[in-house]
Amino acid sequence: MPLLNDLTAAVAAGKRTDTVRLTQELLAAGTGPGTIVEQGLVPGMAIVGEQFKKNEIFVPEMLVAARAMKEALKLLEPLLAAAGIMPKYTVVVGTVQGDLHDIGKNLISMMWRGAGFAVVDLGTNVPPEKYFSAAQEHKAHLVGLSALLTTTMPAMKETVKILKAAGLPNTKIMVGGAPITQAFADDIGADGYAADAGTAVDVAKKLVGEAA
Amino acid sequence: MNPRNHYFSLAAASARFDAFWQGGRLDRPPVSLWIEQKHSLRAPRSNHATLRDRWMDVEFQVESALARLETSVFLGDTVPSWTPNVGPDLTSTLFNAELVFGETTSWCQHTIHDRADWERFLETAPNFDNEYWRTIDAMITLAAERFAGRYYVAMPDLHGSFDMLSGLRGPEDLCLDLVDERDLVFRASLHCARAYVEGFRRLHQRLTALGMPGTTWTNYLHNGPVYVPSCDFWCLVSKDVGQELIRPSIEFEMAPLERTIFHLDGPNALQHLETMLALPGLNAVQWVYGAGQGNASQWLHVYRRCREAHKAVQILAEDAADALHCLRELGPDGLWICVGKPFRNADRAAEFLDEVHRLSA
Repeated sequence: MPLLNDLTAAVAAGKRTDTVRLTQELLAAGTGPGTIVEQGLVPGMAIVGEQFKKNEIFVPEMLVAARAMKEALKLLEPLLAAAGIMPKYTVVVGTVQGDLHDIGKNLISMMWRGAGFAVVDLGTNVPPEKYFSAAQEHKAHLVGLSALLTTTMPAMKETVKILKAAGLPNTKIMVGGAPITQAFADDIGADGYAADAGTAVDVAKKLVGEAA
Repeated sequence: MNPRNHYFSLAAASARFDAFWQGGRLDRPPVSLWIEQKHSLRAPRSNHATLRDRWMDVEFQVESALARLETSVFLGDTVPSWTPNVGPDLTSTLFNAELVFGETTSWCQHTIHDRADWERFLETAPNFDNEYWRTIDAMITLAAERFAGRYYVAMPDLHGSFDMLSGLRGPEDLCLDLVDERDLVFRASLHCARAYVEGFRRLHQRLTALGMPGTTWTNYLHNGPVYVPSCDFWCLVSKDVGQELIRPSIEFEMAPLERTIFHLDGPNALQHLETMLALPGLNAVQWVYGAGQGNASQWLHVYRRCREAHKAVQILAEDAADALHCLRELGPDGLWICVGKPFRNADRAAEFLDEVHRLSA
């Protein structure tokens, strides 16, 4: 459908006005809000994720794309809720205790939203028990832990330990952030690791059992 | 192997750094290293009600520094110095940002929220009389007095224009503004760069008047205006944005300096390597590969590229073996060796210095 393709391109290019206009046109033409999300917005953010992974675009371009998508979602979310269409998977995300950096966590949240996940953002400086109670409350499929400082890597380890010990059998734990590596993720017992916001979607999909 | 042969000497270390800045070496490259520290019995205990009280307590900070310095042994070219510190956003406080203090660092509260704030910011002159700069000034005064010529007071950590803006606006909003308000952000970066240069000039004058050599947190030496230009923000943006929008303010900040060593932080910043190497007047590069990215020996290609561009390099080695491997691979010219892992005792450190000397012959 050409309009959906145009919407995908507008989101990927971060064209906010075009994204909103095309969303309105699609709705006026009778396209369902779920279809607009699935076949217009999600592919747009997938393009952005791929370009980011390949260093073809950088954080500002990713942010303008996410902003365009967000504007479209403002129109669509009430309609999705009214139609009873809910995201299939829920992620609880936050920056670990002692760390007040949030740009990495925010980028990953945007990419997850763009891939159709419901994201519960706990903010920064999040203690382990807050992750646990949010994961329980929202029946999270994934908990995402972010850290920018090497000094807060022990807090990430502690959080993973506590979440594992608490026993959330259906919840996977994913970690990321500048100083974090696959080796560290394996060492602390995390279920997944993403090196960047683009990869985070693929890893999350694998962890919840969707093909990446 | 005798530690006494390697006790820090300002004259000898300065001469080695002079050679380093020019891409050469004297008897060996300058070496900064640390030795496992004895617990200081006289270190003051913090009874502060808040972290802010602790950070801003001039007497406490200087006494704590003095206790650490007095229980340390300084060998090689390790400058016995202390850097007055309220965190990395000191320069953002020039534009009325408030700091929030954590255990080991501080953050600044964003003050630019919309277009009107941007316009106001561009009209605002830097305020060098804010409580954070007054605190830094008081730390310098008291430290110089207490150190009594035994130790040096170093230049505080000053972050340049785009890191100042990132503190004032927040990195995400600044990224969006780079797309939406490119010219405005560019003007703002030059406004910050002017404040940075003035801040540096004042502090340099102050420290020079107290007889301090040019040094800072990264422990170099130069008898004149010297600093570490940097831009942590540019790891978020493309090569083109780095070149067109960020480079001019960095050049402006470097212009008054006689010696410069660029702090290039993390693999995401490497895309700006060539832009950085082309900065006029740049003497040296501090490549910080970061935790989880291996050791210095794994980044020889970066050091080699810097050397090809006729820049000296600071090797931030994980340990003695890593440092010696880099020295063997790169040769001693234009090298400054820093060993991250402290040596168990002064004898081990002296052995290492002897080995560096031997390999540099």
